[in-house]
Amino acid sequence: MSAVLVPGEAVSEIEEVAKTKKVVLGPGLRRTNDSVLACKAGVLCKKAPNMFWIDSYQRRYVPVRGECVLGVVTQKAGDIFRVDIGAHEQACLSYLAFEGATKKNRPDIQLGDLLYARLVVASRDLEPELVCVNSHGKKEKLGVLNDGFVFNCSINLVRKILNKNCPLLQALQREMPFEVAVGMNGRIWIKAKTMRETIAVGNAILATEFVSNDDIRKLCENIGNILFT
Amino acid sequence: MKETPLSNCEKAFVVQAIKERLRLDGRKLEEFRPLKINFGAEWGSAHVTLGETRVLAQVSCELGQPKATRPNEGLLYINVELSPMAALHFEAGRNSELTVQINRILERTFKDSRCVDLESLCVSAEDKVWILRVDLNVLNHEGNIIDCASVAALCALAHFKHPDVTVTGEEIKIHTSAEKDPIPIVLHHYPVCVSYATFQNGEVAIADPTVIEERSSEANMVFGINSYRELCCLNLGGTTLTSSNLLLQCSSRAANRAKQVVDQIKAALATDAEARSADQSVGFTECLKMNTINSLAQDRLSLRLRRFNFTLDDDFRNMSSNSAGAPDIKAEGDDSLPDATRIDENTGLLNSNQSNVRWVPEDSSDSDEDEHIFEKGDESGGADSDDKDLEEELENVAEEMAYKRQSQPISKGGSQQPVKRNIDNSSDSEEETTMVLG
Repeated sequence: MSAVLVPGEAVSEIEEVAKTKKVVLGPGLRRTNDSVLACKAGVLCKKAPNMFWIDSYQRRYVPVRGECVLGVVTQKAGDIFRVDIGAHEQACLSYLAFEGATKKNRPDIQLGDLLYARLVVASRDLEPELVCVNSHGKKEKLGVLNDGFVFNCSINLVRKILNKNCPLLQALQREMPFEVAVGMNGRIWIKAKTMRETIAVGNAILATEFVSNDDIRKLCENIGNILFT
Repeated sequence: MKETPLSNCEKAFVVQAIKERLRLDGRKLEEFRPLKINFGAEWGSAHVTLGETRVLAQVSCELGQPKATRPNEGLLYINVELSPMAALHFEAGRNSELTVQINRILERTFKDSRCVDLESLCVSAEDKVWILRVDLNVLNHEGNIIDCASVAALCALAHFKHPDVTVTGEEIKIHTSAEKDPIPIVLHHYPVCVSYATFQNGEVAIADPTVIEERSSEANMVFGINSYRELCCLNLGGTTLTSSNLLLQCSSRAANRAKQVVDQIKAALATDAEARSADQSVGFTECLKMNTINSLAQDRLSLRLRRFNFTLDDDFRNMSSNSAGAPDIKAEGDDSLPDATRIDENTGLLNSNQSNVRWVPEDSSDSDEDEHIFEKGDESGGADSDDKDLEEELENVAEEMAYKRQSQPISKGGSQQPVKRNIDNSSDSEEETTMVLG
């Protein structure tokens, strides 16, 4: 189950399955009339019995509803903030979408602040919209992130470290305490006790990209050794 | 498209890290990224990478009318292109402020310092001269375009050869390279630009800034300096003033760096000439086959610890330390690398022609000490020893400055210091370090 597809290629495998039952097409696949075409270059993946998608290397973020992203406030325009989340368009964030915010009690947000927020509107025809509260009006982990450092990485790396089977964060927290906020838009915010430890965490995360799960532990040990010798 | 905004926390982090003498990519404050030079099959085409910043240079020439004021001199034009290929926020075909600035600095470095012998480009006075044009295309922008572009321009100029001509009466015949060997350009001296970014109210300068460092710095200094330690151009831009002391320190380091870079350029030119004379195929396609040019070839970790060597850097470091005779630093578990990273290592290894020369801060002016410093740079690691190194370095520099101030008067304060060289005695003598300030 690892056919490599290029855009425009018909995926006969899915068409076979579709004859007998319904199929769900994920990212990178598209139906035109009776055929299923790939619209991204990558590896075809399947989740039994009927889910298909293409796993591709990507750095450009396409907003998806419900995902948590990291963004930078670029503009304060009346009732809303404009937030750069690395998508084709800037996202908007209402000043009321914070915990405990009212018309009188505005959240304290400056230009250039880093926000961890959830996408509530992500349509290809509409401006993406963010909120910093959950449906109960609580902020949970969302909101402004202070100090620390944020860096960009590929979308694949984000998915990899958020995967349940990925030992990176467990292995890394054995070496040193740190905070991390992973945005699905390929931005990761990290904060550790010292500058050097923060850089070490970032180094470990970025180096994970092309390392297998078994080697991640060794990688983290290596980082720890460098840090404390 | 707008440039991705820089968040407050990134900026604060970079500034704080510099305060603690750390850099995000694990370099020392005075360390430059590795420089790689490749030449194309054509005369006068060069591809230079400085870390991840890459510039492609091509020199072309045509016959044309000289300027009325200088009827017996050829012309030199330098043209920098910043396209969206370099970074998304650059607009195509539009002269941004940055383009003009880079262009002007390069013009000052190459044209105003009179490094190209324009008189030798004259075919017939007042009528026909060679017009040289250096086109610099920035292919990727990861900070410090100016250094990379200046090296590319110099490489291309030094590599370029214009066709021979014969003048019979009114008629000018341009010979093809088959008929008569093309003629190289005469360069009086080899200037390159060396940039620093300053932090902490102009108290600390870091060499070869990356994009994020450039954007969070207070000011930047560009030194156009040649291998004889002569200043051709000085550009100070930004918001804060710097101290004269720092300026002098940096100029001295820049001069050392310039010498190293020029040596590397000469070595690369010699290798290219050797390959050509041995009738080997040269050019970018050959470089691709040999894996000496690859996209994002250096390890791409934008955040790394100084001694992090789990993956790519491993072979790299071993090679450079072996060549310098220093003991190996081996990481635990480096035997268990997966195959995917092995391949990358190989590419890193194949780059070795030039790129395993690691630029370490060099604070003494005599090159005899090179090897000693090399070792020092290789062995040292960790924050503690870094600090010690730096203290030593500063002391050395201070001593040196005291010595140099007697011999090398560099006036401070001015934003531009064009240097007029006396072309008559522009011989190759190293000793000649006097400067005449315009």
